[in-house]
Parts: sequence; structure tokens; C-alpha cells
Amino acid sequence: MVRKESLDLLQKAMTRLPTTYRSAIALCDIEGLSYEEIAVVMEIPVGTVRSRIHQGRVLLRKAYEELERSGGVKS
Amino acid sequence: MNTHIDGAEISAFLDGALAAPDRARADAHLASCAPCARELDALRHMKLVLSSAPRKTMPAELALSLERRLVAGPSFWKTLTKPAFWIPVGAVAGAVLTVGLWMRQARAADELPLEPLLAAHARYSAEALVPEGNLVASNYSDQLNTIYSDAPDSELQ
Repeated sequence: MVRKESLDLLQKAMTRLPTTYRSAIALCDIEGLSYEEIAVVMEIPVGTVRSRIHQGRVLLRKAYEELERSGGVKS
Repeated sequence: MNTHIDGAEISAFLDGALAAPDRARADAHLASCAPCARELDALRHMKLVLSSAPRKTMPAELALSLERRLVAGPSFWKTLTKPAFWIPVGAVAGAVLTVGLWMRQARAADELPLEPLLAAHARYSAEALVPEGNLVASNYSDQLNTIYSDAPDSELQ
């Protein structure tokens, strides 16, 4: 069961990501598209999708941890 | 030596985006490497949380367009960036430009002032050895040959 606080915090962290990373992660993790489908939607090679998702997740985790340390969703 | 898997590869493994051989290799490594397994768990948790976010319904038109493009291959706009498209297009454009310039030049020649041409024609008629009436004859070349073949060599020099 996913806690609502975690989701709110993660969604807030998502807003801190550059658009290109945010779009790739949202299409993959929220919309459930495959890398090939994301490549078509974003008009980029599949290899770029892969690196953007990975890099985006690294940034997302960093933003999430910063928000968590600074008091979470209320800030 | 137990070399760790690249982070992008762990992400791709999580998303089921690795080819079978890579997936098998990553699977074997993750089973025996605690740091990589922890990284995978952290990513999996984040993915799980995000996947619980309200999903926006993709507009039907976009879904249809996506399906078509996946079937059809690269988009028209991507095709425009490929040399294989521009080389023949450039050749045709060059040919059209050349013909266009030639036609413009030909038209410009048609538009030369008439007076100098008439004056030149009158001068030629007066100086020519051929009677003026014969200048428009269809066998003009034959007549010229006749005249010059009859004339002594000294007159031609």
C-alpha cells in the first residue's frame, strides 16, 4: 500500500525536474508507456529515452530526499 | 571480480526494457550483488509510488496517432532531417532553378530593343551580295554557296 504522503512528496519532487526528464518519467511510470512508445511520443531515440529516465530518476530521488529533509509537502 | 551494473541498465531492467541476453546477465548479477539489489529496490519503490498517481486519460486522437506512428515508422518531420531525403530534393531544386534562370535569360533576349536589330538587318541587306528578296528564301544557304563558288578567290579575301 502506497502512503499518500510519499506520493505527494514524490509529485512535488517531480515538479522540480527539468521538463525533459519529468516527461520521460511520467510517460513511463504514470502512463505506463514502453521505451519505444516514449521514443515516438518525444521524437527521440530509444537510447535517449533510457538515459533520460535513468538520469531523471537520479534527480527525482535527490529532490525527494531534499524535500523530505526540509519538512516535506508543507514547504 | 563483481562489477556493478550501470544505473541506466538497472532502470531499464526495472522497466522490462532490456533485451533477453542483457536481462539474464542483469538478473544473475542482481541475485548476488547487494548494492545493486538495493538500488533496484529503491527505484522499484519510487516507480510503485508514481504508478499510483492519478493517470490522465490519453486523448483518443493522440492514442490513435501514436499507434499509427509506431506502425508507420519515423515521422515525416524526422524524414526531413535525413540526407537521403534532401539529396534528391536538392538535385530537383537545382534543375528547376537552372531551367528557371535559362527561361528568364531567354525571355530577356526576346525583350531586346527592336530598333538596333532592324538597323543591323538593313545594314546587312545593303552590304550583302544576295539580293534582298532572297534573304527570306528557304534555300538561302544554297544560294550563298552558289554565289561564293562562282566568285573568284580574290573576291573572297
